[in-house]
Amino acid sequence: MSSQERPRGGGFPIRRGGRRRRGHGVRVVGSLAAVLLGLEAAWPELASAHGISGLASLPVPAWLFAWAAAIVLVVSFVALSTLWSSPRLQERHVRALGRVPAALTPLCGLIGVALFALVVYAGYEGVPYYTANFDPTFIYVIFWVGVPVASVLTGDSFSAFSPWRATARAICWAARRLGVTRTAPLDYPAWLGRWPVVGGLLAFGWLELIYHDHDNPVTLASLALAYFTLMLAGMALFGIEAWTERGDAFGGYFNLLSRLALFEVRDRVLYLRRPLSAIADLELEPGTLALILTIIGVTTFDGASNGVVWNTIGPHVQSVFSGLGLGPTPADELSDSIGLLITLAVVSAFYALGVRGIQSVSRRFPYRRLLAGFAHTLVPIGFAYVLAHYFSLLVWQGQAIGYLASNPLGRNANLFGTAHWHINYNFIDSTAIWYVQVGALVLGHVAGLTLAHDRALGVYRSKLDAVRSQYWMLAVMVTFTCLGLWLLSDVNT
Amino acid sequence: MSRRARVLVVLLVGSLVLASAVASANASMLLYLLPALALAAPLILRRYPGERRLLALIAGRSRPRRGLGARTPSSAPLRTPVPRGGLLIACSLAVRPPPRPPITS
Repeated sequence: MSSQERPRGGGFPIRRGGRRRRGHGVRVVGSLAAVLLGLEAAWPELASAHGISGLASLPVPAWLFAWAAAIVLVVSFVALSTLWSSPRLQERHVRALGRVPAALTPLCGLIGVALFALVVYAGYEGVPYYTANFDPTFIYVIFWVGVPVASVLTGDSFSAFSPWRATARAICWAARRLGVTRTAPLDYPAWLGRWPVVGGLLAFGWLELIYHDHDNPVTLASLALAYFTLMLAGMALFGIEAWTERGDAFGGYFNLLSRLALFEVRDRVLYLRRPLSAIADLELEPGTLALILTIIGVTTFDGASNGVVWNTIGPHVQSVFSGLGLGPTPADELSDSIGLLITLAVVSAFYALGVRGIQSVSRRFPYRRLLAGFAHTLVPIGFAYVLAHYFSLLVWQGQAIGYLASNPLGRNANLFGTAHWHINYNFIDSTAIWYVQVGALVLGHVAGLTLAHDRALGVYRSKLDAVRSQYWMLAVMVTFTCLGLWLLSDVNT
Repeated sequence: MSRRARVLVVLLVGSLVLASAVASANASMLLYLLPALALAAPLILRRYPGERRLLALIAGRSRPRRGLGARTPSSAPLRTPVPRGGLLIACSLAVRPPPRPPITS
């Protein structure tokens, strides 16, 4: 900010009273400790009811981690405000590292198509037990959890492995060789934006979390085939790349998370980019904010549905539907569906309240513009939620793919000699998982705070407005952090 | 929103959270969410705790550091200009010497 833009009078127009006396901070910390000790005395069972299995070795009650995380965020907020004085992420910063071999993309596509064929084949021909069949573990662990993690580490690698994209590209290549050239008959409608991705993610979340027969391999194979067909139709109508980024639920989701990665491949050139700069560069198409909130909301519901609160409320909602004549399964699915919608509404409300607060700082920008303008700050939080929530699933259940790959149908085959492998639960213990979860949540929210701070510096002329707007984002980040940690703790109760 | 309305919102939200925690027999939720509530409550009341100190810190950092800015004349070493070359000849020949150039650092 230039000196001319500073508030008048050489100082800052602070409405509140005089300078704080020295020693005030000490008294605040002392009071805080007294309150915490009082709470602990009032509810002595809470100290031991941290609810994380195997967390007896934790030095402090688990809820104190939420306090520690909040303190880390507050310190980060102060550090960002004082040390980060100009926008640094609002422009794309990339450095070319080298060319990617031309044969790599077709090779990855071939692997993707082969895995897809295996999923379909194992679904129809394999044993119908989710522990012995390749499909449930591959789809719900490797694909749904592993690919997002890989996308954040390596960039948008899924676009190379995507079986529907690879198939469509192969068809186009063959058609060109035969002299048939055609362009997509329709332009992708701008108003549709990322809404198909939102719909697809909600549908997959519903399938995984709510649908009772979600681990039936035949159901999974049939849905995979239906999705494959839908994707080919979409690409035929709107073009391969246009549809992959916006119409393909998984392609759009993984592409969004891959913006957190340091690497990017464009026109067969590998680039190194400044951390977080690609996410600040996110195109704000219709449905973008809804997509990010859906990622957080679906993961939040996954935690909440296994926790104490929903298990207390859920049966009451279910009994209402049972009273209307529905069977136990539809009533349960319906009540969980309502729970999912409520969770999405709560998550959206947290963000909306934060943005309302930002708007109250300065009336310069309309509410909707601020909603979209700070939406990208939630992307690292979405990934942090995914990683924290599914980390144990990935490191424990993910090992099952070792023996399932050798015996995908569950019929005593041993293709790679690994069929005798088993899951090693000592690979990482519950305490270490808890620390990884806390670390992921804190880092994700610090990244979100950084993005919000950088955006505020670019948006507001006044330093005062920028700082005040970030108080609200800090409140949003602390809320999401505490909520995430409570859910993780609650799940394990 | 008036100040009284904001206070009411804070009290209402706090009561709701407390009631839901007690109703679901899950008081630990309060302990987890307390930092968020503690942070949100003053903001809803339009209070920004610590902003004065924060802005002072920012202002302190953006102030130019000593030694990097323009030097003040008092700190510059004084140097008496010595005529040389053509100026020396002019000075020696002139009845009235040419005007003295300004003192430079």
